[in-house]
Amino acid sequence: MSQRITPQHKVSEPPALLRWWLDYRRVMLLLLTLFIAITIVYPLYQVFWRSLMVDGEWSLANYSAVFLRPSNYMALWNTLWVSVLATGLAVLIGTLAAFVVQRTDVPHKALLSVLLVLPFAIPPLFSAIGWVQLAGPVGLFTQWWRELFGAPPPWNIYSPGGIIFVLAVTNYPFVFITVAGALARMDSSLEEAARTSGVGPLRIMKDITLPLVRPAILGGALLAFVSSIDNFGIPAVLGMRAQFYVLTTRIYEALTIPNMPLATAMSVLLVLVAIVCLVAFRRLEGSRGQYAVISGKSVTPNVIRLGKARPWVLAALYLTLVVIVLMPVFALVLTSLLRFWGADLSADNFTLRHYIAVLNQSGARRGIINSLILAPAAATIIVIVSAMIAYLNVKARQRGAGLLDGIATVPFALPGSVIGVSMILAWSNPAFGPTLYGTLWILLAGYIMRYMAFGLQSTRSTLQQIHDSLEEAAWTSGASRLRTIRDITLPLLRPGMLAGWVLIFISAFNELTVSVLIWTTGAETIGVWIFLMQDSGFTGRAAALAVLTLPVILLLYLFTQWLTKLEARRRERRAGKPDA
Amino acid sequence: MTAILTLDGLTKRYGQVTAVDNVSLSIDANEFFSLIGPSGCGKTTTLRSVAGLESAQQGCIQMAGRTVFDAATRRDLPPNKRPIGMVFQSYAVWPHMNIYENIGYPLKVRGLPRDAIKARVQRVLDMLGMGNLGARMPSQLSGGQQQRVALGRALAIEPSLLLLDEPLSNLDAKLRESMRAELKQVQRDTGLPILYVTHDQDEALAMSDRIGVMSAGVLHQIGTPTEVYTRPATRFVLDFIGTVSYLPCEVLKWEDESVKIRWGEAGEASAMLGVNQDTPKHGPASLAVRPEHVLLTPVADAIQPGLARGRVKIRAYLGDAWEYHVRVGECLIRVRTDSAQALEEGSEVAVGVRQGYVVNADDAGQERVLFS
Repeated sequence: MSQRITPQHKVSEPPALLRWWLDYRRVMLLLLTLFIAITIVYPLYQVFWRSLMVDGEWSLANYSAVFLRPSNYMALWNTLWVSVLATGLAVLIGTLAAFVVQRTDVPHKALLSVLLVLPFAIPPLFSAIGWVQLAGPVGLFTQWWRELFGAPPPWNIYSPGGIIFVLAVTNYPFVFITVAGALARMDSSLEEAARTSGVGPLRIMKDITLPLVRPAILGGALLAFVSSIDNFGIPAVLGMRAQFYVLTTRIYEALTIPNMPLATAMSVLLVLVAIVCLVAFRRLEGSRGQYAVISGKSVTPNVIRLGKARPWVLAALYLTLVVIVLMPVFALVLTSLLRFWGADLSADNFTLRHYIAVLNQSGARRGIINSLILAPAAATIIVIVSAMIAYLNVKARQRGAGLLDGIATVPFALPGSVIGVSMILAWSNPAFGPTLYGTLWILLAGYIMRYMAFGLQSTRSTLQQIHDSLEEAAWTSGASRLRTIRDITLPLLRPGMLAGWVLIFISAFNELTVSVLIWTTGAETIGVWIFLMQDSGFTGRAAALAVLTLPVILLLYLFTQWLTKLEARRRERRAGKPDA
Repeated sequence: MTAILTLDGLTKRYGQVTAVDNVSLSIDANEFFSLIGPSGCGKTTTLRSVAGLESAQQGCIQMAGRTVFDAATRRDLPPNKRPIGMVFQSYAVWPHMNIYENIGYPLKVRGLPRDAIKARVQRVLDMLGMGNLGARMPSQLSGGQQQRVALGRALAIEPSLLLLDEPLSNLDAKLRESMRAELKQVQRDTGLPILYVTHDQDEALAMSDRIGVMSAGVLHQIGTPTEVYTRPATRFVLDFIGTVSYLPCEVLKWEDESVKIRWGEAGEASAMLGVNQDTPKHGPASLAVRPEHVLLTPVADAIQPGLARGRVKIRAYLGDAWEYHVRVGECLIRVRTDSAQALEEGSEVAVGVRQGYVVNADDAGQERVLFS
């Protein structure tokens, strides 16, 4: 063959120590550590440190203040029992739905699965407003009940019961997804072994299947629980009117007074609740031992034939879905189009005036623009930073990068209210740098802290799937480290980065819990405006603004679903290599 | 001949573990050199050090007349500065590039003009018999084809040295055999020196000009396939290459060019054996025998001196041969005979040994081999 190609090399090496420091990994780690220290560690430190300070002295006075006033410790107690009951109900709905879809011969399984996880795409604040319009004093359901029975209905949506119910129908998809996934992946031979021993299908469910998916149920329950104690929109819309407070709404109240030390102390309490529950769940999970049976492919799972009950079960499922998933959205849309809620559904009562009012309101317009700036900005920054951290950690195996990853993931376990309080403490009169409070920057900082873990999770798991030899092959092919990252690593990482970006965008676009604590005039978001409008009685406008944002969220949500399906199919293709 | 690659005293430690222990070897132009050993023996670490993917703590590596690594002067060229091509066990064909882009990438990185890349890639594809598959994506190829792409990518720049890391271990048995021949053919055609790492001794014996046998980081022997098979330098090489069974024996008499041993139950037998200086001079020892060096005869024929009495425990028909597990006294030995001779399970046989190695009875640490 023709001439050999040998790389030109000119070696002029800097001194060893300098070279050590100039190593790109160390420089990157240093910069990323600085970023995480400023955006995450510093605000966290502020919360815990300030909660222990009174007039510059160490003191537990803030905590004793929490417990001296019944309204404060009641909020802690309310958070606990409301979340426990809401989680219980979510587990019931989610597990039942998962079993029916995965383990009976009910038809329309694909459609049912999509509809059942739809609540994920609907912001909790929207469902809360929707449920007020359905079951509130002038709600549709309330009216129907009156017409049917001629008496006021036995429920009151502005109550702990209302909060529990709406939290449950918002959070049950966590349980449904984990349990349905576990059932789908369960080794069916375990059930077949029972069947060949002469055990009936219902008995198998109870004695074999249910115990085996217990870890999945617990895992889903934990997610639902954390989501419940974190929630602000639902207890704010349904509880504050009835003077029923949980920690998140109490913190909101304390900040409007404002009583910063009290808010701080309650934030720390909220963190403690979260941690205690996390540990308790882990214990519960660990005490029975982990079953390693959920792996591999299932062929013919143990399916219960519904027989004559089949159409009835299907009808019941659809009815439930219509009531808990579609009706709130329908009520929201109707509210935004009716002149006033409770008006007859005649043509002259339909109007676009709420939409016009919203779009003519400069504050609301600003809110839309702000959210349209903040969500992509936060998503982009997080994805880039987390891709770099994940690369250092997974690929470059830089010492310290794993720790950095761990620290940056901590806020994932923190309720949003705590992040909001930490933002105010850190950035309203910061020890260094400019005051961010009163600008959009504080919202950006809050979103970065809150959603950092999303970016890390998606980039980390994608990088772990990229075999080291793919990079080494480029390296031994003559590409420099940087060129390898550009030509090999980044293209392969891109799907994971995109998935993370969309997830962060959706979450940040309708964020409320953090935003409602740190917004200021000029720096409002869509979520804040919807809440404020609803809170001050302009439900029609709140609904109109919500309906305007829903298509964006739904489209992006469907896009992520499509992305994950695509990814799964590609992985299947790669696993089942065609053979010569 | 000039050495293309020279390793001198290469040592690589991971914490307390010494993965590569003072390894020295050199590979000549046109040579197919295999490193073989069980997993974890340090062969892959050695290869990766040559590639520049690992940095050793001691020793130096010279490649094509240039020092690419020297622990003493802290010189360590990165992989992209070494004139190598490498094929990985997992293929490592980039899933987001088509076949053409995969093979052309090393050329593109070196800044070759588009036309030159195109011509070169096509020539490589033709050589590998994949001339029309350039536009395919890797996921559309079979495992064997993907491995061929990986090979083509390593060959594209016409490197000074080709590094292969167990490239055939992910293929099924039939395909592996045909790829073996293909690889050997490519090496003949291009005249490229190859450093080949494998745990499969058949592969190493069939393809290599020379073999280096490694265990626990130590290079035990370097030699041609015939040398390592017939004249193993250490007990480990004897055990690892081919199959051996052990029979107890006793060294009776030691002379310059021969020893007299007693084994089995049939009394003394003298044997003319080549002598290794380190062999025990007298006393208990072991006689190591390869399956093809054992003779079995039905016991009806008298047991003569130099034969032992045994019983067939298990037999297996392999098509071209019979394999027997024969109990001799306390020992179970493996025997391979041609397919014509069929002995029943449970039948009594007379066992003779044509060739063997006398080794120390205590296999604790001593590694001494005597060959016939």
